[in-house]
Amino acid sequence: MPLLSVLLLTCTRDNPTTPNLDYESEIVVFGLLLMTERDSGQQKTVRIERSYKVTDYLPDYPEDRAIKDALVYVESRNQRVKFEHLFASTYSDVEEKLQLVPGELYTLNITLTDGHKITSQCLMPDRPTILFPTANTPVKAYQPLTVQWEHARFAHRYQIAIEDNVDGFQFSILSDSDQEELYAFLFARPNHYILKVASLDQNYYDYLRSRSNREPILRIDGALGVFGAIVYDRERFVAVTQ
Amino acid sequence: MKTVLYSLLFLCPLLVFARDESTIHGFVRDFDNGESLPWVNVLVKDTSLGAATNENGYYVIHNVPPGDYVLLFRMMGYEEHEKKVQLKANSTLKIDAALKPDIIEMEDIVKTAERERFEREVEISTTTLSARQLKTMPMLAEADVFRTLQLLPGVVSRNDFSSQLYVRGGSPDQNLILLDGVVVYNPFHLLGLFSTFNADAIKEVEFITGGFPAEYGGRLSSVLNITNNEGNSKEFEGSVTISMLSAKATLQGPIPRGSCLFSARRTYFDQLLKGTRYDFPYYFYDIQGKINFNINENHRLTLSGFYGDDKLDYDMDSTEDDEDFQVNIDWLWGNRTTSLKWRWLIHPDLFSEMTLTHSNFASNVDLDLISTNIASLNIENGILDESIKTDFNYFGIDGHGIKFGLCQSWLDFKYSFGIDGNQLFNYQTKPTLTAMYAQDQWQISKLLSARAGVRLEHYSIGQYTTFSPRLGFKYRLYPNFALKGSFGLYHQFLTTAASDNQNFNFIDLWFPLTDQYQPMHALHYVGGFEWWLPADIIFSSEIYFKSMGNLLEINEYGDFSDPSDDFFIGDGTATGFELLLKKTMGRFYGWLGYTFSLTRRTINSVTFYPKHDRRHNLNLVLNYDLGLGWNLGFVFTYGTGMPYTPVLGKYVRYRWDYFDNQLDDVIYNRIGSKNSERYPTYHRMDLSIRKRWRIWGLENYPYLQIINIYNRENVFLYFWDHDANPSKLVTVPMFPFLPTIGIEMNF
Repeated sequence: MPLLSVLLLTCTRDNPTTPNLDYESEIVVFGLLLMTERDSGQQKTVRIERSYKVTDYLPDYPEDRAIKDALVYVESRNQRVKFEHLFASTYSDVEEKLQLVPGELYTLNITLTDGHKITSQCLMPDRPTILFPTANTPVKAYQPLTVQWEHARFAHRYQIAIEDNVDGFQFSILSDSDQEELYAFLFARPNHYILKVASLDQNYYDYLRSRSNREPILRIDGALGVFGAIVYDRERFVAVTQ
Repeated sequence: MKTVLYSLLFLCPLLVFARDESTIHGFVRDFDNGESLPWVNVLVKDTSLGAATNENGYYVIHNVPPGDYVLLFRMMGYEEHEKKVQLKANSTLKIDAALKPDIIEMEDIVKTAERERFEREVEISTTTLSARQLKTMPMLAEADVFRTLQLLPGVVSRNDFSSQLYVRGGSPDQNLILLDGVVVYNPFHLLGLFSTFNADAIKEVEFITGGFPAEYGGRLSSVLNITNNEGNSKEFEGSVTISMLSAKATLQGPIPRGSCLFSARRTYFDQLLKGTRYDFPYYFYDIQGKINFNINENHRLTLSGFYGDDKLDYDMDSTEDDEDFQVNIDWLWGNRTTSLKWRWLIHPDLFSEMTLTHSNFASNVDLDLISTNIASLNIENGILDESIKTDFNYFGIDGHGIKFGLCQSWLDFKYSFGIDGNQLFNYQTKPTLTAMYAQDQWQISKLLSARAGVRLEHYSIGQYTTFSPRLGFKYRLYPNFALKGSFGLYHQFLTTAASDNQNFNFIDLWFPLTDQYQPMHALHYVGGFEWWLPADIIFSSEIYFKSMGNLLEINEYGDFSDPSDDFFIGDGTATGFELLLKKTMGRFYGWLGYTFSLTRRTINSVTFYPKHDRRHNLNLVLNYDLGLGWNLGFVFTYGTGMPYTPVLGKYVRYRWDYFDNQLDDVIYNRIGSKNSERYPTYHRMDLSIRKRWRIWGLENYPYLQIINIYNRENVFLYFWDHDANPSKLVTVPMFPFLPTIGIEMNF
């Protein structure tokens, strides 16, 4: 028995994880800096909500989950813009003061009424201008399609999304290259298609990789969630029979 | 180094160790079926000279003075056999013998074998199971090797749906699984529910749960060595078994200068339901064969093979939500193993076994997703292992049983993924693994024996060379009581893409280590005793400590474009204490096994109890011969709860929708500390009733098996249903009360 005790002790000197059943509500932040397709503008959104115990009733409406009285600032090298509470859990740059500039590092600073601080930084990527296909160059239906875009500076990864304009079939993949071959089944009929290629910063890319039943990949201090950036380009094209 | 190894590999059979003493040697077989007989005592009458046959039925007696002798072959369960011999000076005499089974029951043979092993072998953490033990155990539908092994001390089963083995804190991919000497990589049917090995073809199963000797390598935790029957060399015999899972047939019989055995099994539900509206889209089959051919008295060839496939052909038609939606799955996976063994008695003191092996696991999934668009996905993966192996047994030094050998394996791993005929991912790598070993079982004194060995392995990717010493001893403190212990260092170069987070594993995806990962390693320390109690009850106990390093676990967050983060690296320990009270003979036999174990892993800097960490495990396995051909089998399993990661909270997670230009939302779980909660205690009672029944000259064994006799709702997993608000905890249970019937017919 002494030998057994010694062996067991050697095995338990590091205390493995201990149960934590007294879950307390956390702050959940979704901050997104978005530059949409060419010349159509910028969106800057921060949502602040709370999480719930798994056994609790989860309010259906963001209004009821919202934290409305936080101080929210987004800063860059030359800018410091206060985001005002707009509705429900949403805060925004109401007066459109914040200019999104590729290559610029943006910092999100949130202070709650109890003094709790949340902070994160993201790097704004450049736009990945789509080179192929374009509206003027019909592609062949039933064939794989190689989508090409101009390399976007500061992009951590790309997301390519395509929608069949008639049936609404949608598909997206991630890429680390400047081109990606899309499968033939996406163009299984002559049709109009909408293609979007987005540059993602690292925060948003990691956020997309997080899963429901796993520990989330967090690049934000003081909260669950993300503060990320997306810049995308859009193209509409036609797939035709040969 | 390779050149030296290759030279040794091919030249060693040509070496002959010359000796001048007079020697008697030979093989001992069963008179009725020609199977080799291990553990037969061979005595030179009226002298103190003698020996016992080894696992191949071979014996050698050295230093016999010239003269006329009577050689006595003795084994319980067989008639004594005597042979007169005349021995000249400096001569060698080969005396083979065939022993007739006595009227004494089979159990006495088992007893003799157990006792001989106890007295002669340095076997630590080793259990052997016979075909009889496998067949009389209550099991789901039919006898299953892995399900039986799950009832041994030190072995844990994660759930009822998986027959995978977690041995002394190790993962299933740390088990070396051998079928007639060939490594089998994915030994499962029906996505892990059953093992691939057909119990009707099995002769013996040897299972070493730790401290295994130098002749085995390449895995960290255990060795499962399955030997198929050689086939009856005297007369034809066969059996047909129909269970609620499958129908199987086995035929064995003599061929010129040898014997053969063939066994085939196939599930039949797909055939029964063919043409009905309840189409069953799945079947599996396997075919095993073995042919023994004695070229002459010193050379013997054995060809054995296993061919098995699982096939799922499932078409899911339209749903209410999407009338156009359809999924067609065509999935074929299976194993092919072949071995050709050449056993050569080079000299009475030396025999070699050269084995060529071919093991191939392949899986091919064709998936058609038909909606408004059609997508054809193809996923293929496979592993091919071609090896040449030579083992030598040298008996030339009294008190020593020396074994040494070489093995060269050429491995080929393939993975590919394609859509609509375009190959998007194609990975292939071909490492080689070279191994050599030497070990000696040394009878140091009448009471003390030891087994020492070393194993040297070279892995081509990263050019890693590893050195693994192994040591075991047995000290017979009293005639019926022995202390035993072992120590060993083990290395592993392959891993599976498994994660502790997975609740279920359909198929093991094997990967060779790339040069950025060091070989995984483990150190085993085992100590214990074995005690023969009255009434032929064996009481044994072992305590073990295992430390494991460079363990790999698949990184589920792995960046698809970054191969350097495919796996997390970590380490682990496993400590435990096992008790086994075993009775292998008599009308009433079985075992009571208890295991206390504590397993811990640190992966990616997080320390946790892995999902197979079961603190207390108790198995009671009983068989009772009721007489008049009735046999009753009983199994009770009790295990404390296994860990899982609890869900503590939930939150709404947003994501940008590129086409609706708005945020999507979905409810995500906020999980607690990894594996910090435990499922409720597991317990289950199974029963089997088997009757021997002669009709029309055939021996029949109809049987009834009942799984989970009191319908205990053991928990497989929990999940939270967020469609309900508040969210509802859903329990997925394991096997319910499940009766099955079957019949075995022997002719």
